[in-house]
Amino acid sequence: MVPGLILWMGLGPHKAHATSLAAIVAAAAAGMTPFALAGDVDWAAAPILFAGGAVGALGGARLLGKVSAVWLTRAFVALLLVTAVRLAVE
Amino acid sequence: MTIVGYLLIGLVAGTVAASLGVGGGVVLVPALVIFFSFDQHLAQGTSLAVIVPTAVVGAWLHARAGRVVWRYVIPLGIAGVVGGFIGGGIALALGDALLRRLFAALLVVTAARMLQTSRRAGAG
Repeated sequence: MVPGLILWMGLGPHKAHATSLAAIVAAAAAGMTPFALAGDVDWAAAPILFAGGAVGALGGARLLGKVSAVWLTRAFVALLLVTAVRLAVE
Repeated sequence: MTIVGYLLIGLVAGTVAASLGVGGGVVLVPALVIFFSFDQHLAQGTSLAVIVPTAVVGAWLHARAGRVVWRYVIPLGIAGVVGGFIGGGIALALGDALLRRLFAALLVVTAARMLQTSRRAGAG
């Protein structure tokens, strides 16, 4: 969505990101609804995960520019691939 | 102990999302499946229940700073609602093992796109 808003609508990256995030609220709420109706949401876990996430997001934003983004990305990519294999064979 | 685990998973997801620009679900879903034995559907539903308030807070902060272009949000939001219902419905209709493998494939695609982006940034 962000590249589309930048390329086709001519928005700057910050506005594109912000606009996309506002639209994601609606998409995520709609996506969650079928799960919620089926009882596939752990309502006790979600607020705790959210609280941890809020703290992490504040810390993560400070990490920007301090740690080598390239190496951080590579480390995370490696973790993603290991996780993918683990999930696939679970 | 469970609460501490959830807090830690949330912390990692938030850190990664803010510093690397990856969706938090990429961390939340596998962590809940692997460490807390959630089935894939419960993990994805719970992850969405975390993403909704997170996106609300983020969007609110951006809106206050005047960065949200509302005339684009409305059509994108409508499309997102349709897509969200369809995607959520399809995910629920799929079996747990198949959904988990599709999610694993999504992780591989995410990893590939991250490498591509970082290479471009590194070259530029």
